[in-house]
Amino acid sequence: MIPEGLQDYRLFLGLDLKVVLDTGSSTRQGKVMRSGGKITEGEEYKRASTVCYMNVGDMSFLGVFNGDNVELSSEEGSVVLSAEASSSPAGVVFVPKGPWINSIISSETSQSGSPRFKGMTISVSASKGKVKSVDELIGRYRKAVRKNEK
Amino acid sequence: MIHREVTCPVCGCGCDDITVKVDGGKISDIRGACLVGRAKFIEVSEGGKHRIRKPLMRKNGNVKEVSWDKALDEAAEILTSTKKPLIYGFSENSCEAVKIGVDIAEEIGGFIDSQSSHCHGPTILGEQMVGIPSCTLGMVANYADLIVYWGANPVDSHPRHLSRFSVYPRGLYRPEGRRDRKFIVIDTRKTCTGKIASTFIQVEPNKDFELISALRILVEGGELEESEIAGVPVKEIKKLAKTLTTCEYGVVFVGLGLTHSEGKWNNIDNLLNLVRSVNKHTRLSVVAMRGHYNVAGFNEVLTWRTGYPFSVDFQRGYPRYNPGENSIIDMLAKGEIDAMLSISADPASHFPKKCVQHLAKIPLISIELARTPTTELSDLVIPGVVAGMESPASYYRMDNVPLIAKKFLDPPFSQTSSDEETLKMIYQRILDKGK
Repeated sequence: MIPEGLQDYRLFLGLDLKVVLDTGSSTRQGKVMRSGGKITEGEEYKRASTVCYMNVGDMSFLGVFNGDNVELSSEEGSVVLSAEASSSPAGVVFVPKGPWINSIISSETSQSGSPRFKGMTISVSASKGKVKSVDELIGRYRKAVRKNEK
Repeated sequence: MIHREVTCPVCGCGCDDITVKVDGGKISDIRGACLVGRAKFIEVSEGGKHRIRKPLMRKNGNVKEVSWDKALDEAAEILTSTKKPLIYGFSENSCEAVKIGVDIAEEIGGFIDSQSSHCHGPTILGEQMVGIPSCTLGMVANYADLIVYWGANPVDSHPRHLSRFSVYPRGLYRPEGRRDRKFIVIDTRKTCTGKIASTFIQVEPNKDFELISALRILVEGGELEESEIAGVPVKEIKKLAKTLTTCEYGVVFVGLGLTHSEGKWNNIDNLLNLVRSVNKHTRLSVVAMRGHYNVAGFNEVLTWRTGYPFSVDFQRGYPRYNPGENSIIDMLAKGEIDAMLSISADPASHFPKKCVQHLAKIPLISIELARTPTTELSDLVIPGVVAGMESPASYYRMDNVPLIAKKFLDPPFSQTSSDEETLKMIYQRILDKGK
């Protein structure tokens, strides 16, 4: 873990990094999806789908280590995920597909029917936030509807 | 009892060489399946510990079990009482189920779409503009001496693709398998597939179009003035152009890296034109890495029923095709759909937030095997049956080869024998309402 003081310093500086987002399949996430355990084994689905695979240099810039939380933000919103070092080039992050990362994907399709699941520019910063469970994530949509209905 | 040549109903590989041992209605041994396929077999074999066995209905925020008759009546009521209903999914269902789905969409004057519109939809648009020189996976295994994966990572998405069809198999004219082939991966990051390739070319994100254009110039005999294009040194691009034009028979597998990034169908259009140029020198084919095991079947069935491969609109009583307007993502984002039937698709997990927000607002029916984020937002949940395991199914593999999947287990309930039958029961109720 990053020393507490240093992480606060990074957060205080508000360092963030513009990166290109790549989402897609991973075997681990595919295994949970196909087994039918997205809700009933929600923790495993969360572990498989909430990893942000980053370049080591980018992680060093943000002051995060493996397992530290990072916030990914786009014009659509933000989501907290867990950082992990990978062979991604600098400025590119990979996140397995799922409801977490899709909450910041733009629905704009450029008249093609297909959104920008790959190639969107987003910001990444160190975060003290919590990674949401699948229930919290989906419950948020229901709550939004009930609020509107009132 | 041992069942041989069982089909795996998971990805577009449609592996039909799995051996399954069934004892007392449960699978006791699986041979030949990959990690992902195995997860699906195990889910079913355990009597499906996650399976939904009874229809569920949500009223005033409370979910309760209801009878099959009540659920099917309610599904027909929702679909017939709304103005812009959409039927969506089918990529993990049989072609027979797709046929009934088209009947329902036509009868209710709604829309029909599948995962293909937001996955390889742009690939199909590119194919419609240029045409595609394609081949079967059998031809790849027997003839190809050059394998290129562009924007695809089959080690994670189609785990047996390399070993069964492309890089490793010992074919008729490639007896040494891997040693007889060149294996190139082009991607924005060094994926698991990139790590084992003989050549990995790292292209800058959203710059595939530029790289394809550079290759086209070189293949057509032109020269490049820059020293680097799309993050790739020109020296390396020249080497790639030479490899493409001097192979005996090459195959380019196109992944979502091209269709989901900037350029979308233009990337595919450009790539197919590159292949056309290369084919003046040698023989090169293109195959799309279709994700679900019958996503290609949806396109086939919809095309022979309506003339169009996806995103079909029956609002005027006849089929219309306007991708980008009538595609599910665009319609949900614009809030145009007022009810939806989703079958084996789980859109709440795979759609952008704006689309899921609209899904939560409208009457939503889902036919699913297990609880998913979509069932959590649904007003009505009907238990699904695994096509190709619990019911026989015809399906199309990623190379558009039709295959038959056998049934080797019974569904965990007796009210329906297949999703096709479930859809037929809904369709009959819709017809009865119209009388």
